[in-house]
This record gives sequence, C-alpha cells and structure tokens, in this order.
Amino acid sequence: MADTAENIPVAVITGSSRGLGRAMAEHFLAKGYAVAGCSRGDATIEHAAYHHTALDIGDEADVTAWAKSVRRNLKRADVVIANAGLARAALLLSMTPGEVLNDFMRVNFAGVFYTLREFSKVMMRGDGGRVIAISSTMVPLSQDGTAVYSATKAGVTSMTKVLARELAPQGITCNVIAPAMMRTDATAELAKDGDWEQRMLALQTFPRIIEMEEICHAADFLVSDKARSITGQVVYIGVVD
Amino acid sequence: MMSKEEALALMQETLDSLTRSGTLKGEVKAEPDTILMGTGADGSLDSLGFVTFIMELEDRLSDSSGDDLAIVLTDIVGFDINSPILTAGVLADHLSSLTA
Repeated sequence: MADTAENIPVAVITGSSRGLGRAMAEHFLAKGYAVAGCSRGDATIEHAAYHHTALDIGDEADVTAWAKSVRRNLKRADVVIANAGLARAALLLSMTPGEVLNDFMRVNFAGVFYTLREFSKVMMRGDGGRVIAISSTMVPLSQDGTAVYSATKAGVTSMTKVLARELAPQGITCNVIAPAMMRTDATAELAKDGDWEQRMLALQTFPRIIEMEEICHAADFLVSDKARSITGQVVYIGVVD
Repeated sequence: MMSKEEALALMQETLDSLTRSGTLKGEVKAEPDTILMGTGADGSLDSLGFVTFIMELEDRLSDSSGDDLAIVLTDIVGFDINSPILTAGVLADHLSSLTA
C-alpha cells in the first residue's frame, strides 16, 4: 500500500469490489478522498487514490493487519463504512442449517465488529471521524426466511449505537444506513427465484429499487460537518420503520 | 529481549508523550504497581486514554524491536478478562515476553 499525503481525507470501505461498497468507494474517490478498500478478491477499481487489500473480513487477524497497514501507510481514517456482508437466499428458521448461521455471524457480525474495533482505534488518533455501518430494512420488516440475516443486521445496529456512545467524547459519530432493495449481484441472484423481487418491493414504503446514489447521498450528509451532532441513528431508505 | 525495566521505561516514555499531547489528563507513573486499567486505575488514564496508550505503545514497541508486534490483552499472563485489572508490572512482563 503506497503512502498518501496526510492532508487527504481517508475513507475506509469494506466490501469495495462490487455492489454498494464499490459504488461508495467510487463516490468517495470522486469527492477527493483516498479510499482504503477490501474484499476477498482483487481490486475492481483502478484509481491512483484507491488502495485495495484482499482479505477475509471475518478473520480477526486479517482485519487487524489491514487496519495497521492503513494506519502506517495512509496515516488516518476519517470515514469508516462497514459495508461487507452476505445476502443470500435462506430458509425458514426451522430449516436453517447451523452452517448458514455461522457464515452470516462470521461475515455480517464479526466482520463488522473487527472493522469497527480496529478502525475506531485509528480514528481516535485523529480529530473526530465518521463511522457508518450498513444494515438493512429487513430488520424492521421481519420477513420470512431472513431470521439469521436480520439478526446479524440488528446486531450491527446495536453495536453501532453502543460505539456511538463510546466514541462521542472523541467527536466521532457512528450511524447506520439501512437501505431497502438495491440492484446488486446478490439481489440479482435472489431475483431469479420467481416473484421474490416483486414480493420484497411490495413490502417497501417506496416499492421500487433503491439507487446506490441515494445511499451515497445519505452517507454524504452523515460525514458532513452538518451532521456532527447526529450519532447512534438509523437512516432507513425506502421504508418506514 | 527487552528487560522489565526497559519495558517500564518504554511505557513511561509513551505515557509522558500522551500527557504532553494532552491525550492524558495528567502525569501517570509507570511503576510496577500502577494500575493502568480496572478498579483503582490512575484517574488520568480513562478508557479512551488506555486504548490510545496501548496503540502508541504497540507502535513504539514495533519500532524498537523491528517486528510488527500487537498487544492482545487476553494473551497477558496474570490478566483476567473477567476481573480486568492490569498493572504496569504485569504489562511490562508481557512486553518482555513479546520481544523474547
């Protein structure tokens, strides 16, 4: 990872190779940030200010080493977006294998925990900062087949709220963005299942696909100075809680 | 291998640096019985100050040893996560073992 000028703000974004993570990485690059991104595979973004690390977000040692590398090379973390997560078709809770539970807990919950733990320490060395965790509208909707997914996302919300209290003395805000259905590889896969997409859209207050740009705009506000006193909140996009 | 005295000196340098920068509210002495975390901890070292101290100490330890070392509380002999009290002496012993 190459060094970057210390006066350039740094956004750390997990799961930045595709979907929302990639869209947010490109958005923050366009805003003039250096972006430290990660995914299991190689980078899909080519930009002088983009720094990619291939890692397993559910592996504590991987995430710890990545945070150290960012701290040493980029010197700072102004924005941290914990985005990486699994979104897969699942069964009713009564039929969900333990292996599915473990996968979701490892990536969606432990991965966010490691990310927030390690990068909050980097952030504490700076002058404030912004943490955004990506959750889902499936938490308030409590839909069939999402027991494990929704539980991990609810856990992310609770964890972020606690962190908001812990980091407030440092001027760091921590919030959650919970978008409704977006067009991603994962939802495209799920949409192959008959009328799944129409059923999900019908649950939303705005029964349409949410554009990634809309989520980036919400993030823009949360990272702005105008939102310096907003912390521990959940911004639902597309549904009424 | 870093001796216990050298480890305590490194901790003192770190604490002094954090005091000078205003991160800690006051001076903290890195003496073997000084409680760094838990009941009875020095009032200048609050929870956020402790986290910053450990990170700064990791950096200084890595710089002095040439290795990328991490301080993991649950690896410290004599530290019980269920009754978390950490003294400077126990941490100094751990730093010695890390650099062995």
